[in-house]
Amino acid sequence: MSWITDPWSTELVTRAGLELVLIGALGGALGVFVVVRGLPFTVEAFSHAIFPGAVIAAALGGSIVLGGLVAAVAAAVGMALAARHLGTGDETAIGVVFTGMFAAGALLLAALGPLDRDVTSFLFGDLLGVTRTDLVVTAIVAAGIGLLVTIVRRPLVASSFDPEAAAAAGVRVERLDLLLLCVLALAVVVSVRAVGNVLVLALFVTPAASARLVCRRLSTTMALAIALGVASGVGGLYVSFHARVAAGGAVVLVATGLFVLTWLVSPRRGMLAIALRARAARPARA
Amino acid sequence: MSPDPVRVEGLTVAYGSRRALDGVTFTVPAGCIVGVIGPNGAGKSTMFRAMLGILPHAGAVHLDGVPAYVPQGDRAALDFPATALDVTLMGRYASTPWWRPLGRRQRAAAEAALDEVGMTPHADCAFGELSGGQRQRVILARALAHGGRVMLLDEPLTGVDAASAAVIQATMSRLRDEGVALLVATHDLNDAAQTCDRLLFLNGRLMAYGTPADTFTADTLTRTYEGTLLVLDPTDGTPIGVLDEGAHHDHDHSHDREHPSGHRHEGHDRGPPG
Repeated sequence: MSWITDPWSTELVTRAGLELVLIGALGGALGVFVVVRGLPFTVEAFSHAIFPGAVIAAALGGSIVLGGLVAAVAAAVGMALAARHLGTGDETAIGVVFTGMFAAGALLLAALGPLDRDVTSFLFGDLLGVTRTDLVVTAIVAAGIGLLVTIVRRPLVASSFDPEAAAAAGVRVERLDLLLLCVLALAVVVSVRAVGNVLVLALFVTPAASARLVCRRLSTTMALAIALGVASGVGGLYVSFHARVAAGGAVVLVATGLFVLTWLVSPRRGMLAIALRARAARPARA
Repeated sequence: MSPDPVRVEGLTVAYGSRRALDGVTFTVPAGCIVGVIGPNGAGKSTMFRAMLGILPHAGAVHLDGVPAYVPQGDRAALDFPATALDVTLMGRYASTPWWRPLGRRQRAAAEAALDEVGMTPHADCAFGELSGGQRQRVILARALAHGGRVMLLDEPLTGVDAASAAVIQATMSRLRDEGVALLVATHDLNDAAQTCDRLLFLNGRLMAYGTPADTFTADTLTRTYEGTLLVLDPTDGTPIGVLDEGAHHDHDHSHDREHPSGHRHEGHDRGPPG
């Protein structure tokens, strides 16, 4: 059974595993709202919009996470304001803001010259570079977001289901939308460090999309999404350790594999169930 | 004597430079169904949204408590993971503090609401897998679970089957009998004239407000719809007359102060649903 215990034999990999458990759970929980509200493009945008903040923070010797967070929150506010006041659709505003910010980050990186710290790890992830401090920060962020979502869960659910009726019942829908964007921005920033901005979207979409195939209630969807997120993180770590491949890619491929498996076996929407129902409905030959 | 549960004074809403609603004033007493009538773009939904505080507006709106609301059409997310009972329970959210779980009392209220609209057998069905009429009944159940003395329903009968329509109308009658003030936007003129206690004709501004006997006239209809009205025989639906704006005083005066039996309006469709 050493193949099970081996990955946890070093502190480096143990920290990486714990980080993946935390961001897997975070991505699964928030991912349900990302999926039901149609926000995958927004998450993708955040993962790119944080780039200039990370570059500036690296140049100034500050916290890359903090720099990324400032840029992400600026992007969230910018996207919300552009969508509301410029009369553009949400996705158009997001496209304009995040590409502009990513381009600014690229120019800043070129202008500021070679930096002492490796900013590219922010783009592609550096799971084995996770420090104890990083782990504590992720744990605090995950706990804080968990508490916040618990407090606003009912307005969040009501406005995700039917924004107009929620507003009529007294929910400040626009404020809640902005709060959700800021929470997503924060979650993306702490997750990008581990898996990189190219792959982080998968953590916020794939486990929740898998759970959605199986469950018909929000509570069970969220619970399964969290479980699948954690399983993807831990499973990916094993694949990465034993096959000696990049952890970020392994995590996402495990999540994708779980999605395909769920899609096959889902009792309501699965391929097998659909095929069996079609076979049962076929008239018997005389 | 308690004040009317709905009091609206000079309600005005503008989209940019265009006034969608101009100085609308009316009151609704308890135990009254008001049919809100007007062509598309007349401001019916705009008036509801302004009354609910969703849209910025001028004028004063006094409502007795937070009103229950049935929005127009299928605006809810059909792929949202929620059963019919979950959706109905949303009606109890506003009255339950965040730290308190939805307990037996809330669940019982939601189940009673579902039962009233005949959806108990489908309580555990996914909302998105229900038919359009069933979904509308669940949305009504959510409004029932919310409770209160005022309910706004924006075209609740549009696109629903006859069985669901009957359930929705029976529920509205029961609420009226219990003293709830209801405002119902509708395009079904005959039904509104027969089932509502008052009619509110709207086309950017208040065209008429009062009992069907006082307001359901050819004059009000042609002014409200700004166009030609085809009068149908209620028994077989055959055309029996035409009301033209401007011409009704000449050859259709006989329709004034009587209830035209059936109307199909051919007024100008003015863009966004109203």
